[in-house]
Amino acid sequence: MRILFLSIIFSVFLFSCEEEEQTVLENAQISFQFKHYYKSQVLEIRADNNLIYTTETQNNWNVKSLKYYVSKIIVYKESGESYDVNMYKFINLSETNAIISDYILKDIPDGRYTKISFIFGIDSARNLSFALENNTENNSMEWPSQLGGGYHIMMMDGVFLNNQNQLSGYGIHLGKQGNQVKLEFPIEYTAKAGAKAIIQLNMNVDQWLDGLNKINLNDGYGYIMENDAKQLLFKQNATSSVFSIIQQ
Amino acid sequence: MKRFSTILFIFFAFFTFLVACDDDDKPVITNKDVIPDTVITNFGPSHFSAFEQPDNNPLTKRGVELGRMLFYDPVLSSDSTISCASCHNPSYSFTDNKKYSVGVNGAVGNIQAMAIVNLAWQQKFFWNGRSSSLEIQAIEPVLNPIEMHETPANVVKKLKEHAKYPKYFRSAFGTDEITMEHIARALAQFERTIVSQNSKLDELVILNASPASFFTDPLEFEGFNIFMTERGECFHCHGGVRTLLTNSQVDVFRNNGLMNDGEQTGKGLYEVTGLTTDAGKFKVPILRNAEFSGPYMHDGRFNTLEEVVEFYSTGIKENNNIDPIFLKNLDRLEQFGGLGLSTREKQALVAFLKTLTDTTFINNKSFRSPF
Repeated sequence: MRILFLSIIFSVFLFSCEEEEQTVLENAQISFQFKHYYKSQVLEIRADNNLIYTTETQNNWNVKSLKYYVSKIIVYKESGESYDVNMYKFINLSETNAIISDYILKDIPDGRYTKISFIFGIDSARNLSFALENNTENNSMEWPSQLGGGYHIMMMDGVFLNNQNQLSGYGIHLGKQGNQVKLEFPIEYTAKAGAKAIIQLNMNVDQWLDGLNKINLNDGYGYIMENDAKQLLFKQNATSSVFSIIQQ
Repeated sequence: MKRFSTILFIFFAFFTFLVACDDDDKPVITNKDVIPDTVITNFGPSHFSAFEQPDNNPLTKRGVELGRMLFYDPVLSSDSTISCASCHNPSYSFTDNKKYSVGVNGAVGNIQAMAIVNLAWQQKFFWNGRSSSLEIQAIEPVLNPIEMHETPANVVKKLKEHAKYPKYFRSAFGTDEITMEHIARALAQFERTIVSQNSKLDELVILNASPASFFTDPLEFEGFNIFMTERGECFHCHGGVRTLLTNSQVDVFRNNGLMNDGEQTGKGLYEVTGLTTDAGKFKVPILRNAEFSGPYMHDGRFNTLEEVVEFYSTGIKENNNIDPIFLKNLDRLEQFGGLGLSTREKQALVAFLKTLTDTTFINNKSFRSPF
């Protein structure tokens, strides 16, 4: 009896401190990094009016701020089985208040994954007024209810030299339900305990103006929130060449 | 004997268990750090962003009350004539109705007193953003020569020798010490509780109502539409419906074309960063109770909301740092000097701005002087 009691006490003592000594294998995870390029060079956000970029339509322009959402990153097995956690991520590139931290998709079930998809913007189920977490970032991205509600997909602002050689402002503000873009890319990743991968989601900013649709900022790109036709041009560019991935 | 040895063994084993696991680095709590008061939880309206309790200065009932006393007590100024409330009067939405405030010995300030409204949700303070902490913000006017012009040593001495304050500090912070840090923490606690949440626009948000049916006054609805669309573009700087209530923190400093390049040299955010691209950028002010918080802009140049709206319609000055939002329609900018609003549109914007009025805030007794 005494021996039994001693062994219980001893095992309580042993197991009580086990956490500190055990090596815990992390579950399978993919880190998504959000990168921004202009013709393969890292995008430069300008606080000044230096027009460091030139488009195919000979617009000299710059980017002063860039904010957007990515939502519902999903990984797919070859069988079509998928895994996601209904995430969304706000990305903010500005001189004063940049938010471009990684997003980590954790606890991915074991198996071989061959595709990812993500939505540029907030997925339609949550793209409703006040649907997202009530914080200052989300509030600053609200899309006015008069224009359909929900959230901006993207706000990209800056200046360019117009046809009269005057410094002019542009605002590529995309939003409205249905203008989100679902993008898919092949990957090669086998999830198992401890298997980590890094995937860069690249926004090739030059392709907003030099993509499938060649955009000339002189053609009225100051106010497009109520212009479905112009937003569609950007949606098509987003679908074709603005985004790419690199798996590390 | 056998039973005794078993009990002894259990005691020894349990003691060993405790000792074996106590090597976590637990903070040592001293009397100085103890906050004996009740921490106020669930603070803030449900339709606002969550309030993040500062780790080093949680809101407590007695801390807030002490802060309220200090806020209204001229004892903080060198000649005991000026209190925080002298320039931050609740009747004017916690600003004053002056272009520049007047400090001790009649010293005139050089910038308009900012309204104290919903600071609990803000991270940058003063027009030029020189403070990232409400505690630091709260104490600066006490020491500023053109405001309260007091010294740390003197203000602490006066409070220590006061008949009641030592007891109040002890009650709030659990210590017999009175320091500038304690003063700052108490003032900041009170300032965080100054919350406006009951305007007509709050009602719209809480009800999640359709603006078209919510606004019974067509002028207000027209103003709402101008404000919240690219016609006025106001919402891009002053936030969406909910951030309008608490201020946008994402791009909080903007150049709104108040000055030309020569006039804005060395002003605004530049004073903090030293970057020429920040000259003329100022903190976007909260518009709640704008009806009461004039004069407007960092230099109090406009006395009425009508003048403010007229500025955005016809008074924009182009400069090197102007926000690109003002350059989106150059034809209009050159023709009108701004948005080129009609008389009706200007009236509508003013009518809408007055829907941000919260009279329960203005009349809230818990924000008023305790004396």
